[in-house]
Amino acid sequence: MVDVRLKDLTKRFGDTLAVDRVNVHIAEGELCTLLGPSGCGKTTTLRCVAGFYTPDEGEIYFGEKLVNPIPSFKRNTGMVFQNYALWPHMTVFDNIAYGLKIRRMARGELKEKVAYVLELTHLGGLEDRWPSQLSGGQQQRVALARALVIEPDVLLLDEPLSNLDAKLRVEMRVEIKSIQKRLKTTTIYVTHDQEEALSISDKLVVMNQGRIQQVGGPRQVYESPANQFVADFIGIANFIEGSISEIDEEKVLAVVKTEHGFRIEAMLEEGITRDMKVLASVRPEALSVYPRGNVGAALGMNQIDGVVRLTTYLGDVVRYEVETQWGATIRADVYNPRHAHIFGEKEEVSIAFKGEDTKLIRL
Amino acid sequence: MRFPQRWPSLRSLDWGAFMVFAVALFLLLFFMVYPIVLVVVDAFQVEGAFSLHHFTVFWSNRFYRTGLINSLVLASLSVLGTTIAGVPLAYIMVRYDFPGKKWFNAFSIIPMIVPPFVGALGLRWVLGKAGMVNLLLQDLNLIREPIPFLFYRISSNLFGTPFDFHLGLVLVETLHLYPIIYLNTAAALANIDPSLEEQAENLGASGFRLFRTVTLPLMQPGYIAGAVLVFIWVLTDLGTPLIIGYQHVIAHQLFSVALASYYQSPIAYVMSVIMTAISLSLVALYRRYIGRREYAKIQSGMSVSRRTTRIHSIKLGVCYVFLTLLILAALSPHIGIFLAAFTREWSRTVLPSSYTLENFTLVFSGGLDYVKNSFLYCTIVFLANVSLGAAVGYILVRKRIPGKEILDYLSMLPLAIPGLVIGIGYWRAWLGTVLDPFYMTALVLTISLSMRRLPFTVRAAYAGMLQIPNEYEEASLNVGAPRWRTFLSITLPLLLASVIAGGILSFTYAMLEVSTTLILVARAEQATMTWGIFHYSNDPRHGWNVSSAMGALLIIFVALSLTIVSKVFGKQMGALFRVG
Repeated sequence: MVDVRLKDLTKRFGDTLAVDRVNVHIAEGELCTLLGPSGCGKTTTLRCVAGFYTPDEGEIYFGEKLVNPIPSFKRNTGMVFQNYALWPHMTVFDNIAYGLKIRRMARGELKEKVAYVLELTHLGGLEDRWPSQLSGGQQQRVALARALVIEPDVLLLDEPLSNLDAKLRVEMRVEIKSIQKRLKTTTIYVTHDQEEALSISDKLVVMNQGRIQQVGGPRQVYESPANQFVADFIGIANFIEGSISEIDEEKVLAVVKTEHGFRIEAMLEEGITRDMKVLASVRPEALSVYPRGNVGAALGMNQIDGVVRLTTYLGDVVRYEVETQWGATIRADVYNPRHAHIFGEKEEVSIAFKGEDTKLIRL
Repeated sequence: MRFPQRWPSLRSLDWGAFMVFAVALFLLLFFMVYPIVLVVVDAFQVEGAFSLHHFTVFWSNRFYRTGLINSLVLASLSVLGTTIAGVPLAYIMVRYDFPGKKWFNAFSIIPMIVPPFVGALGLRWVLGKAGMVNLLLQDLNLIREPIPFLFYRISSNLFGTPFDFHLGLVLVETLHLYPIIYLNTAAALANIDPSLEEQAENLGASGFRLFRTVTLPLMQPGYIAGAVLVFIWVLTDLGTPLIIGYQHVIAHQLFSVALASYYQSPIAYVMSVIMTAISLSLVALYRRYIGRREYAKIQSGMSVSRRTTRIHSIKLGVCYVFLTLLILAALSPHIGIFLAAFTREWSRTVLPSSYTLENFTLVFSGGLDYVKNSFLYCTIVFLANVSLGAAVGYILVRKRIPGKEILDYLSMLPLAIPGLVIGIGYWRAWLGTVLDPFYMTALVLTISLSMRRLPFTVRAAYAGMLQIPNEYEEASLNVGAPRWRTFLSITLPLLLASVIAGGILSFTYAMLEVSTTLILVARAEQATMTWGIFHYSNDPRHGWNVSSAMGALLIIFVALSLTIVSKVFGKQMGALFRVG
């Protein structure tokens, strides 16, 4: 097991910068997700680590070893492909055993190892099947088993769950996580699904347009997004633009004045100074919706008035789109709406939210 | 899949693949391009200096002018004929559902399994002046004089140069070649996303209007591919005019001139240049046209519903009549060949008057060498094409090697180079060298057949490679298998079925090859079955019955191998009969 370091990794396709000076350190045994929209460079980064692409600049280290000059077939990474890439002319057993045969492992030991990963991935009894006789979930497990059996230094997963249905996806990601924890294999996991990333990762690397936007644990990334892209991509955020008019060091609060003259209190952060241009960002689940009134002052919270434009009832949550007086749209999620009044369209409402739920993003 | 990457640096170049690439390129350059270049150069020079003299000689000869015009007219009319037979057939087969469809479909491609001049030979028994049809009509007192089905021609002239509309030859060519149009058009038609037509119907188009505005433009690229192939085929066909006995086409004239001049005549070179130029420019035009019409392919997620309608009453009746007539006509060469093969005596009667196996006995005694040679050469062609085809297909799809586009073009070039021209080129290049076709007939013929039939295998390998996701190989590299091992244990096993099918196709069409064979084989002991068929048909002792027996054998071999290929390729067969 090794740690993985990417140093100024850069990859161009023609004139397009696919990966732009990416620096990441993935500790031994850590599960690190590369998260971002399609085309953000996450898969390219992964393929550079696997050795399928040669980086134009930068270095990749496994432990102390620079792996740039090492061809893919000598890197000892186990990769799980998005389409699984199970060889159709080999049985499950042969697919899994292939890497061990390449390593000239003795027959007895080989069988033992294959049996072990088959058990690990709950594939016992399927070893004589052909890939075409397996369900999507089973194919996925075979692909995982095939990558794990060679005891890779680094496990690489390229959107491994994107071809599965929603329920299976949740099941498999729990399983991948538990297997990974058990084997303590350093793992890089590529996904565009933020929920998947939050649930599975020790460390998240959010990427956009080839660049790293933020690196951090799931909570850190969700609760303290480094910029507008991260706030918007991970979960949903409401943004209100303005500039800092007051700073209250004691309460750790700053006051944002919007261009329409509203006052919004937000968490004060290091480096925030007066007159700074900022975005106040607040998650929909942090908002409460009331009938139009002076609720903000009564509760000691921020208040924004508006008119309900769309109400979506989803059972566990009611999702409102509220048009503010200055024409912007604010999204509010009200959870557990069993006992609450559900506002209809065109109803006039007041939205309240706490200053400590409001995050400042520098512009 | 093309990666939008720059060329790799020398260090990251895959040297193994590069060596294979270099060898393949060398073979194509040395055995395809070099002989033809020599022919072209000689056509344009007199005593070492550039000159159009030979072309002037060619053009001032009325006999040659007539031949060229005749060939072009013949090729155009044959495209027309095959269109009339092939396009409705494709539409009926793809769009309609009716009892017996499977059988009609199977029978309708049977003309593909007969070499053109064996077909012509068979047709003479059926439609000749003393053939079955004429005798039957005479017996029934419907006609007094025989109808010259195969020899009917209308003479005309163009700026003082006489030429013929040889409708007999058009009939023979049409009956032999309509499956090319059929397979290409049917493949294109079947590939049209049904939702495209449904959308048009949804907007109010129906019937002929729907066909004209949506269906026709979408199937056009497939049809044109077939039409180009038919045109080139007829233009360069030597066997059919030879058997029908019509000398006034360029291919026949080229053959006669070459034989008379011991294969080295400037006029033969000029004719070679003209034929090559016409077919190459047609292929080039087709490629440009296709390049602008890639839209046939930009569909994502085809809807599952197939647009086949079950037909009844009048429509069904019309289809049955059309199909039955077409298939009867298409089968008549085979009927003729097989009857003649078993005939002791057949003279002025509708059916043979007595039967025998003697013709086959003669084939297996006197003609056994032909059969052996054919199998030997074609097996080597098979092996050479499978290995070269797999390598080229793999490199074209997977590898980034500077100049691989050249390999792409060169490996498809044999489709556009007439067989006669290759034969002439080989004589020009290697007469008097260690590869002299006169002494090394077996070797030179095998090489030329390997080159000529290479596109079948390359195309099959290319299609096969596209079916193998890149990830299969990456997954193998990823778990530690080096490139060569990945190729042997992952790529090759997955590719093998399609390459072997392509190889069988190469084998089959090497067996059927006529023009290169006739021009390259100067000595009987190294000749093949097609040469033997031609030889026997000119031999008064055996005559056409022995010739037919050998033809019948050839048809059986070919039918067997094509059955195997179609099992592998299924409905994709049509794709293998395409240019560009």
